[in-house]
Amino acid sequence: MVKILEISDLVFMEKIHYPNISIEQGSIVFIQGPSGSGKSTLIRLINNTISPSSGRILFNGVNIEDINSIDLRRKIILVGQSPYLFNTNIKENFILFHKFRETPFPEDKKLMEYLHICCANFPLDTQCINLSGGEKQRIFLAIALSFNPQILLLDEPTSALDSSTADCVMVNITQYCKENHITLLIVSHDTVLGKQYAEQIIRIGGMK
Amino acid sequence: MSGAVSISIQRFLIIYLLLIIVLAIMKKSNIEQTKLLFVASMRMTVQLVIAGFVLTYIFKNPHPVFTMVYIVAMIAFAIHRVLSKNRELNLGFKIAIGASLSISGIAVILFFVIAIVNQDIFNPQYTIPLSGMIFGNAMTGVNLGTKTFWESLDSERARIETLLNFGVEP
Repeated sequence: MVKILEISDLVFMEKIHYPNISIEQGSIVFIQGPSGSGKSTLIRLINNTISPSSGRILFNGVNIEDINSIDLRRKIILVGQSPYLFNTNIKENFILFHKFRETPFPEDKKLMEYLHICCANFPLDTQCINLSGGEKQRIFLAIALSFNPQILLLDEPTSALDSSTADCVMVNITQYCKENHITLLIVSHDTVLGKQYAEQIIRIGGMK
Repeated sequence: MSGAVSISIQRFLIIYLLLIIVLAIMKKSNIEQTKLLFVASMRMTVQLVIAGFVLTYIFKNPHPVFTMVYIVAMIAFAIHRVLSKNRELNLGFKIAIGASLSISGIAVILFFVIAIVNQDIFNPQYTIPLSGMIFGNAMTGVNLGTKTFWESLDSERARIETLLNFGVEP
């Protein structure tokens, strides 16, 4: 299998030392470890929103420092812990995010598909302000999926969801990513979720 | 020095009457910053005395070099004050602040002294006080601007982070 990510000797702020990591294209990977061990920091390092003190991250064999950071983030999408949606309806949110990215806007049928994958079967004209935290999180995830990334980084994607909705989202997303050869990296405290869905588990130890 | 007004020490001391009023208000409002007020007043007095001596000398011995050095010192001080409050800014931002303060400040001084007051730009009696006002206000303006910038970054953090994470061009 093709290695999509290779991380070696990575250190952040001279405090967090990461193990060497190798991730295959299209795999489902969970990143686990105690609070403060640098799990969320790792995925921010991978999409180059922050820089390491030393070490290197190769994306498709190329050091990410040598790739234009905007181009990189279009291929490696990070879905953070706090979903941000514009104060308008669901469809407008898809439109606005695609407009900001200057990417073609998917048709309504495709949008409904993304929402369905994220177990968020709401009408497209639903105002986001009226949605709960968990519902917003799923719509946010659906928007990220619509960008067709090569790698999808999810930071605690099920933190605001009840267990049955979390299962629904995880089953659908892992299946969609497998079908579309999208590599999925998930930061999660939930070890049960990891055991259930992960093909590879990376354990982050913490500070040295 | 034509048109200069002399102020006696006794009259100058009346300035401190205002400080006594401020002190009285602070006491009444239980603001325990007497020491800070005293130190700031002393600092202001020392600064005024030094500036007074320097300006008296320059006004008595006007020379383009003195005027230019004084303006450069004011620009350097204004830039230093703004940047010292915004140490986290990147180099490009710092250069933009320095350039905007110096270039726009000098342009406004040239316009005021030459076009409005109709005087030689190196005439210290006009150029130095006007520069003081312009750079002082420009410094306050840039400080307010950067403060608003930081506040906007804080309040819009989720939006900015999301857009960056989604590969949007800043």
